[in-house]
Amino acid sequence: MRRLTVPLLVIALVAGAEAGARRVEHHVPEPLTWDTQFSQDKAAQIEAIGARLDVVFAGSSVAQANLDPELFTDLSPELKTGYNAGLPSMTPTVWRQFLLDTVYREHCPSLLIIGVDIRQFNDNKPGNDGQLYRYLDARGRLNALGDEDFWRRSEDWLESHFALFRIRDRLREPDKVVAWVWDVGEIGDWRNTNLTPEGRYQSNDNRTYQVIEERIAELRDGAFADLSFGGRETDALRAIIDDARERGTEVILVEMPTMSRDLSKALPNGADDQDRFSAALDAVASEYGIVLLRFPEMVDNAVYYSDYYHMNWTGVETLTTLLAERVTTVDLDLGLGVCR
Amino acid sequence: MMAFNSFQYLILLAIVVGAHPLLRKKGQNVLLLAASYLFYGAWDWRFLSLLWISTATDYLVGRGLHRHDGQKARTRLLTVSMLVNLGMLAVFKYFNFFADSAASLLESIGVGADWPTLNVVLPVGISFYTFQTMSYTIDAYRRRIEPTDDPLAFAVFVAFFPQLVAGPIERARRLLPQFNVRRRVAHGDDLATALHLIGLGLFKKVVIADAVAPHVDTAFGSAGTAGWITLLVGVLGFALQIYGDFSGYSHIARGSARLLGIDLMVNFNQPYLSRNITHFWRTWHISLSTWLRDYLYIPLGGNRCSALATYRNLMITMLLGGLWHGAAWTFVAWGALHGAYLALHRRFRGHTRGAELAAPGLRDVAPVFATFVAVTLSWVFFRAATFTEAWDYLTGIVSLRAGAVDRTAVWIVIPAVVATLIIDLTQRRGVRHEAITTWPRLVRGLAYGAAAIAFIVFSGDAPVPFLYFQF
Repeated sequence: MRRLTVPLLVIALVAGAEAGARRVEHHVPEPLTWDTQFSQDKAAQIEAIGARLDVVFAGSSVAQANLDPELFTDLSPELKTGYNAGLPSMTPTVWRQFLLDTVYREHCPSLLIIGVDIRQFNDNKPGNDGQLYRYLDARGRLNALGDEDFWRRSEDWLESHFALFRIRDRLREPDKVVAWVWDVGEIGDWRNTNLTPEGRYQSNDNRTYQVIEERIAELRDGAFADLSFGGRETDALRAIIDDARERGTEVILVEMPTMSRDLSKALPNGADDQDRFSAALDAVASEYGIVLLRFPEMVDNAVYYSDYYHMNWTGVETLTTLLAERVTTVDLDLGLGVCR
Repeated sequence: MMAFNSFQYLILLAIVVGAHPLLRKKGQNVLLLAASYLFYGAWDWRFLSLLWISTATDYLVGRGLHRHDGQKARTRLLTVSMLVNLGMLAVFKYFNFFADSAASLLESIGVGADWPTLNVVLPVGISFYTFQTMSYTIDAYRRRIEPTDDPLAFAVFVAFFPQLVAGPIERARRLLPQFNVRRRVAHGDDLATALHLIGLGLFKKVVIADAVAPHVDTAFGSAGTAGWITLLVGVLGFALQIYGDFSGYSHIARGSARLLGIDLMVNFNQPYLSRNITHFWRTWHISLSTWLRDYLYIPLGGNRCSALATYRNLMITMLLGGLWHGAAWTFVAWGALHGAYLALHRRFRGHTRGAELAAPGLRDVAPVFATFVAVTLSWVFFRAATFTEAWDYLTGIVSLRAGAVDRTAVWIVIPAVVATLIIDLTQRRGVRHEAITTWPRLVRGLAYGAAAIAFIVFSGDAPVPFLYFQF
């Protein structure tokens, strides 16, 4: 019997933890199985769209926060349903993969509007590769695509039988578990993506513009350090356009307006870098013969912004309205959005 | 990439461990060599050629040293080995670093220069196996070992998969004879020790290093803006991450080798319980620090010269030790800081006495804590991508910068500190890494149970690569 002391104790402890996990499980949100909560929530929202999807917005947090699909479709008689598939902090390489994995798996939209900003086109941006691999390797994504190997199937089996496995990623943030279950402390950012049903991020809506010097320094030393365009991220933009065209989806590029005069302080060569970026976009647009829209009337007008590139509701409303008006003037063949 | 914490490695190890006892010496060595090349080739088969170049060069140089007694010929042979091994390191690891640094220097004095750079990937483990083979030729040159006449055993010595990509950097005197026995057999004790070492290594890697890693990334990613508590917890987390990651790797390497009846050297010996910096360097990455001592510090004159010359030797050794870790000035700064620590310790304490290297007791809490703080401070330079980031990080802590506290990081890092302390203190008392086997059953059962729960919670994502693979 003494020989069994150690294994019995281990079994008892693990069984106790499993019982505890089962009690806690119903109080905490679903586990995160995609790379980010945004990807996970958006994949679920896109899958739930039953109707035909007419217009899709793609881009980073700037597109995600600043373009409102609901308002856009209200103003566009030909386009009835819209979704904002923008992913914060992600680069075109990830946008493309996300469109292929979610939007194009379920839908063939008539129009794709890509909202681009300079931050996401730096080929040397730190963490680019890690971001892509985290996205590609996320178990939720692989399961959604039906790409399961023995290892993942084993994990799925464990998760389907044991709560300890099911909620383990939540347990890695014990402070939030305590907050959710016992209502002590801050609830944290789980399930706090604050998205509209059409995928727009709405947390900036009531904010007013603020210059934050630390954020400028952070951008200068991070996203804009070692700035270089024209490589893999621009190629990914081209690939997004190619993918859309293959499906008969029209594409419009939008150079998103920003508080350029403040944002330039974070760029190594200031406004010259902005000009180089704009020229690179012009080159891609003319290469493909697609429309590139700019909204100079909104650039550097602080009333529209909550920070250097994200807008408050006044900005979102103005930009989306202007965009809808401009799109109606563009000669587009919106009837071709059919899966080929 | 076949990391120790991957399913593929588990399969490879199971096959090799299963087949190994069925074979005799030559068959065992063929099996180990095939497995080692498969292990390395799984990362990038093209770089197997570098391994082969290093193996062939040092085997032939060894044979040459065996045949030649003349000093001139022997020196020439040693030079060939150094040129080949250091040349590979220079091209694949340091060329772009020195080219960029020279270009920046010239630019700063107004001379613009468009220096060529190489578009090369750093081959995994190149710093480890080149140092291991160089130690073979240097020892053979110094007549400390008899060069082997068995090319198969030598090839396994260079490429032995458990320690190929992140050490320990073994000496031929210790490891090579283990590939020359008639038949290696792992006994019952070996298996029990091996499983404990592998279990402990995986725990340190998955439950300590990987658990704190995202919080360390967040803290260093916001070095210029995060509050001081978040930064402090971040660097404390990195101290645990690098220790858990690297010592965890070493434990798994030793455990894997032990399953095959091979004994690898201890690479970490509770370094954070050191009561001074000299003691720290005798217990941290022991295979590298003894390599640097034997092949760099002592040939420079070691401490058998004037005090100033000794400080110089310490500084040169640590600067090159820093550069060994990576081709960046931040690593050089990390080495310089440790060089300064060692020189200062020597200046004020003289020779490190035997008693200072013994296990610390309760009265040593203050010096152990002071040493840990000094080492942790240096990790800022090791982890930061740039000097600006390191400066922002340190000034953020020192100025008690206001900012939101990453509560999750606190909840993860503090238990990781406790777990690391428990592991190291019990090992210090038990004098061996499998000290847990001597604990009372009740305590052992509770410890294994807690470890199992922690393992379930922190495992499951894609395996996180070991930090030292990049060196």
